[in-house]
Amino acid sequence: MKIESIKIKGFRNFKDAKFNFNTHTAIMGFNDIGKTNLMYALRLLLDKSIPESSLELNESDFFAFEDTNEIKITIKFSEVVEDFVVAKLREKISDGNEVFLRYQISRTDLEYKLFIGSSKSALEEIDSRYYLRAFNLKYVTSTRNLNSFINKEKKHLLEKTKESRSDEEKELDTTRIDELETTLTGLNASVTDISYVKNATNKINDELDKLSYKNTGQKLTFNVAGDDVDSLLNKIDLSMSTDEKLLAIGGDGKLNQIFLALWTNKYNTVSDLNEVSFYCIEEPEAHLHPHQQRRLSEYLASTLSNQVIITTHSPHIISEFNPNSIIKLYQEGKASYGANKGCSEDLGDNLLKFAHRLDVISTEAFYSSLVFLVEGQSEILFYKTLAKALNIDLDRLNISILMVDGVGFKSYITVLEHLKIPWIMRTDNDMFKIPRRDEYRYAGIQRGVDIYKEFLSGTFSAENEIDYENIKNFALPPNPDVWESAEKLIQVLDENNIFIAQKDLEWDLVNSAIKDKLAEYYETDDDDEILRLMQNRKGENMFKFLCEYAESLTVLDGDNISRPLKQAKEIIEHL
Amino acid sequence: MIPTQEQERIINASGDIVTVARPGSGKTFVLAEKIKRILPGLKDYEGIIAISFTNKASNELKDRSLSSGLEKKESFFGTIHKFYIAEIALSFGKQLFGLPENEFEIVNIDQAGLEEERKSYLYELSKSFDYSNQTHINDLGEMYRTGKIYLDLIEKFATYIFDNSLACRRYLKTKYKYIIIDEFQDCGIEQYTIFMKLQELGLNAIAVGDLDQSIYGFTGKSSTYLQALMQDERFTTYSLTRNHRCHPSIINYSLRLMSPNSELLPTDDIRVYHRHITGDVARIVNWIDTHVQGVIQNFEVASLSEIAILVKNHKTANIVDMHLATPHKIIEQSLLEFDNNEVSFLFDNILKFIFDNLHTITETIELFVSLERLTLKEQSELEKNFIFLYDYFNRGNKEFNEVKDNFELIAMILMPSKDIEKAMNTLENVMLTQLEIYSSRNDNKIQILTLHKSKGLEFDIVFHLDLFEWILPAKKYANGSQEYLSYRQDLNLHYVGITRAKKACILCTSTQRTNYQGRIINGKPSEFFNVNNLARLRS
Repeated sequence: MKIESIKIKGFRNFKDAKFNFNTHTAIMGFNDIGKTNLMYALRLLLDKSIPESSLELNESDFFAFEDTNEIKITIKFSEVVEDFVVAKLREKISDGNEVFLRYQISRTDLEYKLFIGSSKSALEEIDSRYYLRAFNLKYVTSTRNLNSFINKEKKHLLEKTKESRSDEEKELDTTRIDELETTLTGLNASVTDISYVKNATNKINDELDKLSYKNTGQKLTFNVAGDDVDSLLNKIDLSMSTDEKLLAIGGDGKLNQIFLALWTNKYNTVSDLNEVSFYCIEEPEAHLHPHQQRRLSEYLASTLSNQVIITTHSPHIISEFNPNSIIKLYQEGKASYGANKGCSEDLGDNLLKFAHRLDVISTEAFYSSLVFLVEGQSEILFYKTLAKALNIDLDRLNISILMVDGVGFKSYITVLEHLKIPWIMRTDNDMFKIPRRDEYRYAGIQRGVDIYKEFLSGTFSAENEIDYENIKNFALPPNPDVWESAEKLIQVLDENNIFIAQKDLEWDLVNSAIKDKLAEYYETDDDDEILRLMQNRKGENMFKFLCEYAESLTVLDGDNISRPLKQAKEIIEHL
Repeated sequence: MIPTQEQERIINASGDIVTVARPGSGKTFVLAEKIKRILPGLKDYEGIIAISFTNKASNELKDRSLSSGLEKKESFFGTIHKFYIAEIALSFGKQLFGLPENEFEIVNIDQAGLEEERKSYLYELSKSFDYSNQTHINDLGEMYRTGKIYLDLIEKFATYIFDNSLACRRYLKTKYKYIIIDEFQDCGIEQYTIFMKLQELGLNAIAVGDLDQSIYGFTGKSSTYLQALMQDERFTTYSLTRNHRCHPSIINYSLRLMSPNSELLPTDDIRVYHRHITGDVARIVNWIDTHVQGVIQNFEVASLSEIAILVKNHKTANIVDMHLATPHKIIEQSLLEFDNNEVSFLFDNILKFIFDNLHTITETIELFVSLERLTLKEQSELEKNFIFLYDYFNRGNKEFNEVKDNFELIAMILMPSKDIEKAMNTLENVMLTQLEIYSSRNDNKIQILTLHKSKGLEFDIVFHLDLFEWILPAKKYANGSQEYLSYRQDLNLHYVGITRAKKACILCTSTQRTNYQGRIINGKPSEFFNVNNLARLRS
């Protein structure tokens, strides 16, 4: 059984949003966008720890920015095949193994109603969340308190193993406990013999005597964990041991790991009970080093046998998820939505393979407000430095620069579109020979046009269509028509934030205001020579040049090469 | 009680079984023992389906199966109609027909207050329903959506829904591991079909019946299906033949009635008697009055309620009632049992609790709602009212107005959404005219009942009346000659009557009787007396 989707109407951040879930789902998005509220919507219907009284939502829970009169939260479950659920829910399960749950409350009387049914049209009102005994949600908040959890779980842990002892073990234990009794008595005697321990209570006992005749004979004393082994065993505490030496349990990161290990252990060992549990964990990465974050993400995914939903701010964890399993929350108007309604099957096989090759730097881009796609490493180095020189604060504006080197623009753009992340791009103005023919094409412009048509639903005027035909194949040298067509198309693409270089980064720089600094650095005036040297070990050379001449980049302020950055800034400021 | 060898064989048998059980062979005992073996192996959310012919029989089976404190888990004990209604029709109907607009009303066609045209249309529908006729199916849908469930059509609902709802079949297969149907000799085609379909789904199937006790042919039931099972390769046939109830001479008589070559058990004593009284039926009753004490002494009968007078029809029952001086009562169903209404069923059970002394308050409540679903306040309210009613009635009071609030309160707690008006009316009627049905259950009174009603019961002494030619077996004139209306049925009825007797069976006839027109005519003893040389086996 799994949660397939949830539809939330009129509740807190959500005017009308639908979210699809996968077996393992990661929810991401800016702070205050509604991640916790999305979890809460699930919890209202499914979390046992939320008491019935909390189901009475109040005025402030209604979506504030419109006349909202009703909150409606509908959850769809699929693959409902577990025997005990089938037996318990009876006709509430459809032929296709689906179940629907709904929570509804109206602003006029603030009375809530619960419904369950085999389809949206067969929803019937029910008195209580009686189904929680068969299936429910287990929730872990980001502000986990390990200590109080441990105190509760301690007894549980001890009892479990106590029950599952063999007869032999029980016998051995009884002997040990008997021995402990003797040791304890001896220990108590020794401790209370310590003079300052013994005398500490003398004064109090004298006063007690004065208070009441009855108190004579009764004395207050300090001793070790009471008189018997039972109370001693009740007071034992957890601690970490390294090489058999005890330490206090470590810092927050370790606490977090222990907490989650305990938590998953608790819920995994009850798998023989007739209960289906969905797991919701907020920010599992808290206080953990990046590699440990990834390890944790993998651990949760493989240990917990059922559906897992996490909210996360960690690119490390997100990189473990394929985009089909990511819910990205974004805002439109005053309401929050899930990009592409959350998880989907939309992204085909090829993209899945690609996505797994995304490294962490790339997935950081998922958290950005805008992504600037460039060809390769040199471009990234260059543009980051340029941004600094032009006082465009990329981090503050939440802009990421990503290279598509080897993978291609389309793949990245598909994912970005899927996650509804705005993007701009700059590609080289390549001219490639058409195989087996004596003709050439402006591949860079073509690339731009294809992307324009596919992702921006761009339509060309009839004229531009002709332009497009012109640049698709021509003989060298290109005649003026072809030049013109190229220019026109570049203009159209430029207006749509698809920037085409004049030729490529190196050539463009040589032909810009910074040429003299380049000449200085490479110690030659010859343009071609400079170019050759630049292209030889591109990244390394670019890096070294930028180290020396970072501030000089300011001269490029009015240059075409700076336009993408300026445009990015404008887009962000207008969002 | 320790099972006999033939009983043990069946209790231990696995796989799909058909058991042919003779009267008094301990059929309920065997079923209960089998169920006791099955239940512990089931998971908490699983259960068995145990179908009996009447509510009374299913309550008895349930009591005996759970007597050792076993958990019944999610098992169903009840009649096939109850099962259809609860587990198939009302629930899964939603998926095929849509949600009903009104509360469900489960009622017989002729009690629904319909116009003649509608009535006859519905009767026609129930007789010649065609599952491939979309109009018929749409009619079912209409009825469902308006909340009208006619009992006469419930089998059609159930069959259609079972066949067309994957969710329903999956549910039944997941939850129930056994399907047990008793009295399989009185089985209609729909019940047989569903039984076989459940077996095909994977439920372990057990059918129990007696070919010679098929007495409901007039409602379309027959022993054909029991016979079919006995021929079916998938089923193993077992027999329960030993009659533990009746005296050997009574067994001999009953078996010889059915078959000329039946084996006779050795016995010194003949306990089947024929008494032919001069006069009309009233004289028979007088004769019984005179001889009752003698019979009681001779056969060591502990109480009058161990004596039964069996009749074929209610007319005779009334005659007996009118003329019998010895304390007696007619066994009949109360109106509350007839109602087919949840609330009436509740009131019926409350009255049974009050007078029966067989069940506790908790057991009665749990028939409707499990205790854990009730708040403490509700539980104490219920207890208060139950105790009040118990005291009230057992002091001999029976004023409806003094107790109607208590009944209403109990209904409000146990079935808050049901309309109680109809049930309250019926209760009022019952309190006026039928309270003795409940109050004298365990009294020292001779029991008067029809042969049909006597099925499954047993008495020390049976006086079997209505054994006249033309009556049993029933005959009529057609095309100038005599024709039996239902010879086999009537033979079976007679068989049932004889086998109710443990110690003695007295077959009574008189020289005169009243015919259907009210005239006094000559009464001739039934043809059944002369079948297979039976005279030798009676005195």
